[in-house]
Amino acid sequence: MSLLSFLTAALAALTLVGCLYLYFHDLRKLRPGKLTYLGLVTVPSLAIYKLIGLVTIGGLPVAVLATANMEILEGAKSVESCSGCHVMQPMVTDMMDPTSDSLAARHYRAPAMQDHQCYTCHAGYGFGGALAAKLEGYRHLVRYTTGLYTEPIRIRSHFDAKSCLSCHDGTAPYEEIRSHAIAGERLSDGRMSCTNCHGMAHPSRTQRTPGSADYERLMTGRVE
Amino acid sequence: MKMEAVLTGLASVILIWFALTRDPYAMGATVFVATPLYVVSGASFIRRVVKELSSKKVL
Repeated sequence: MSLLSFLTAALAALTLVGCLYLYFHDLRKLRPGKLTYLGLVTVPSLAIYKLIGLVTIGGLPVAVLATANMEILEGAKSVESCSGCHVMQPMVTDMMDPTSDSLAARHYRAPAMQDHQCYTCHAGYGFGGALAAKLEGYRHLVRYTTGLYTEPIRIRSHFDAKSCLSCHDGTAPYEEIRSHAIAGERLSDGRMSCTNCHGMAHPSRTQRTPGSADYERLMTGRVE
Repeated sequence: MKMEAVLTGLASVILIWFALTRDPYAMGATVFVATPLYVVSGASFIRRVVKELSSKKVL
């Protein structure tokens, strides 16, 4: 359990305790003159009730939502978070397969990409890209939790080669290949994709179709 | 304040479920159920506070 998860659970539990207090104590039954002894000080019971109400309804939920959303936005970058939805499992299984020759698997084995492998390629480049990826994540969440999808899933839009170029462009191994210079313009404006020459990024749709020969292996996460 | 307590309590249970499991369904419930519950409860609480302060001529 991460620190953020612990913090979220602890704050939510504290809120729940406050809610139970508010639910089982009736505000109308608290007389204005009634006092509560708190060990060091004696305060009006009504003030205690209202203070607990303010903290429980007005204060703690803000803190809980802040930690939970931080966890959602930051936690969503991890590969484990992507594979949490079973439709993504074939991509993750293939990516982690040391014998796989797919683009994702080759990138996963690269020393330059040690974590957040799914997010690094699918988040676009820059602030706008990351924001779009997070909004797209909310759309994925709606479709997955409501079951509004069919297998095999497919990428909604054209994969932007700028995601690849943001890392590869300008590097010596990339510049050394003559065809990169020839294809550069077509890659930049989306007329050509890196996968045209470098092969599939993930298992094909046929492999990911339920009932296919590879489906069970990809879904169970068994790496051969 | 029972209604606010119930709404906030329900949202908190969802948040605990999410924090402990990190399940996609719990994440969906956090974003699309718990957050609106907290907002509705908070808005109702603010309305209650404003009403009380207005009745006491503080506002």
